[in-house]
Amino acid sequence: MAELLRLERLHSLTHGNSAYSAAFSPDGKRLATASLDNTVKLWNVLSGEHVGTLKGHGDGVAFVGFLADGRIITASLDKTLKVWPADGSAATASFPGHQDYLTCAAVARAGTLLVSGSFDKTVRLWETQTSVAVAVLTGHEASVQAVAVTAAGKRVASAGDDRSIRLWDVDSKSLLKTITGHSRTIEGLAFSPDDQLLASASADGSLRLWNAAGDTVATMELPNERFKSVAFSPDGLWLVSGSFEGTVRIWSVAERRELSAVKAHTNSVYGVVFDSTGKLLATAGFDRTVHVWRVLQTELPK
Amino acid sequence: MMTVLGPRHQFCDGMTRRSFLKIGGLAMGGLSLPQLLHAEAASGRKSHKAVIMVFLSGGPPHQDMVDLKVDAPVEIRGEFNPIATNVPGIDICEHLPLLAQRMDRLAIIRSLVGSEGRHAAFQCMTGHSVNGQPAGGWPSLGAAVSKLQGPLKSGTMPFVSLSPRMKNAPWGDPGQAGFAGQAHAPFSPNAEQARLGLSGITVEGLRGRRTLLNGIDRLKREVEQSGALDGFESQYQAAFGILTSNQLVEALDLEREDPRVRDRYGRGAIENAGYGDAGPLMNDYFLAARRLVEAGARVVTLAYGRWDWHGRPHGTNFENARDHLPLFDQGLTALLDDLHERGLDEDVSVVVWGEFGRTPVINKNGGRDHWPQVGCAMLAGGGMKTGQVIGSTNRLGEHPKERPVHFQEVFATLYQNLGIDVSRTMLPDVSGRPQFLVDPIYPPLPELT
Repeated sequence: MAELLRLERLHSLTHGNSAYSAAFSPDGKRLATASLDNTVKLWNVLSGEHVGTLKGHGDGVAFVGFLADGRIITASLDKTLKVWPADGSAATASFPGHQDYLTCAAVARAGTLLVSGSFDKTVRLWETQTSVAVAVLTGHEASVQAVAVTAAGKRVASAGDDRSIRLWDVDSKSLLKTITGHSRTIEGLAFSPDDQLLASASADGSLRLWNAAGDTVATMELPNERFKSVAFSPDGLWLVSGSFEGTVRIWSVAERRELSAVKAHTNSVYGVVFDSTGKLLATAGFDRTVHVWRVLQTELPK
Repeated sequence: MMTVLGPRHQFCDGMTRRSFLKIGGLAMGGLSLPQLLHAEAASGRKSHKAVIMVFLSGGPPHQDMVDLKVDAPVEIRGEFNPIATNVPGIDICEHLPLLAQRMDRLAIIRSLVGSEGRHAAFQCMTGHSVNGQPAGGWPSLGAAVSKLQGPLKSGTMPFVSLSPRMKNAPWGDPGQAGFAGQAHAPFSPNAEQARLGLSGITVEGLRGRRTLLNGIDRLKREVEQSGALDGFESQYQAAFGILTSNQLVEALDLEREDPRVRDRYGRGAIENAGYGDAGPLMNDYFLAARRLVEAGARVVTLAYGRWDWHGRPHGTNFENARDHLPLFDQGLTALLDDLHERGLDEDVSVVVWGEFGRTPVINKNGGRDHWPQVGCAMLAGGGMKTGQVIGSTNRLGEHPKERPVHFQEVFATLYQNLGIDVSRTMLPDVSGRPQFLVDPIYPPLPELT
């Protein structure tokens, strides 16, 4: 039987400006959405009800994520990261340090490490418990547009306008490898749940999978697509991509083929993320909306 | 408009002392009714000559809207394709499909020159540069018209600006009074906020006449007690007259409009567009402009969206265009259709433009930067000859190739459409020196007559 997926739209949530990122809370009950309107909105996943707004950033919010304890992490074009209590009250910590627009961030699922990337060409590592910068990783020759971190926070990947992907060892704070292959900017990166694969999304029309050594495992190409965002499903079986064209696609990691495609947004898809069950998907678009999708599996005879 | 600067004092109903004086000042400007006004009112015409000016804050990308460069190299060409319009031989951007079907009612200037390169509405409002102004400063189009023609009738305002206050204040410039005098400054009903209202009082708050009157009565008592308006009684009386005439409130109260009409305009978003430093992408403003003209306004200006698209991380030029253009297409189309269907298009001129064009070369962040060398404008109505393109740029959209058109030529045309001959009309600046409104070397565009 051939597996196929279908996306059924559950909620369409709106911001006053473009939506850049979305994240499900660890318990799956809340969705946080970050926007160019300088806010993060909190939503009830089940009902789609708007339940809170985080205000405090001075520019667009490029990233939102949750720590394991439910606290919320945000990264803003105002060059700071902030930590917010789980109840959505005022930020309790702010991490300044980047010298230019802060465009991307990632949180280690099983740890307290926070990673950020910036137009200042640096990748910075932060300890969320102490608000202290652990390291400033330099080497990128242009703006950093995407970062990813392994579950335990031992390894970091970064990529951007210099078209390279860099793998960093967190303990030694050193560069492990520079990966090349993409021919245009890379704006999406994600580690698989088992940390064995790294996915990259590029405006060159390709999604690539790399192994832990940084070697190419697979390339999925669509010449007319400019990929912008990417994420794995929690079981690692699927990859979801978002594109400049507004299309959201789900791919089989094992078979390297497309399982589903939907013209989800009328503008670029900046963020894609599954919930912890893999049954819900959130997509954030420049069209000011975040869609929550139910992922429906169907099987067709081969 | 009489604006008394100083510490703001909050009165009940959210009305500030400054707001109150603004309203009073407007009415003061309406006390003199020129002969022209009486003649116009007595003519029995259904409509009157008016201008609606749409300012695209930040500088719209001419080459991605009305002058697509399909033969340019990839670093210049852009992402969009041209589409045919209903005028053979004229193509515009694929994201303006509704306007493309109304090209016969538009005149597009592809060779707008003379921009001083300043990130401000000033030049679009006055036609002049900020530098080298005469004593008292250049009056904006609306202020000059207010001075020359006065209100259409008692209780109406000749000059209304729907531009809200913006973080980048020069984009929210509603059009200065200049040497026309403060009595001819615009009435700015949403100067304090993006939501339509009366200087801080929302339309919702004014909707009930009783509420309005009660509010004004309370305000008057407070003002009298504070002594804030000593010496301003006549202005107060006049302001009261305007407010209680109800025309203004009705024009701004879009809830009175058929919801289908509002939907046709697209309503828009109240939040500031783009980086948050400009105004909203508010299609209600287009509708309010039409209603204000019907309520007697001679000039209505509005700022729309944020068009200063330098690129990531605030979205590429093309992402922002895909965000703005469809709503703009809907809003402007609805306005043109509405004016046409109501028989206003012969009298009401519409001009759409920004302070400059944008760089031919797309920068590394997918943006286009400032390009004062050439820009674009769209004109409609006012009895102008439409269905044409005026001027052209070179293959790369860098500079005019044919028929450069100066900002002031557009102003001369707008004044002409309003019945004002700029070759003869002068106003004294504050030193008493007579000033032409438009430099005499710039006549109205002959192509449009």
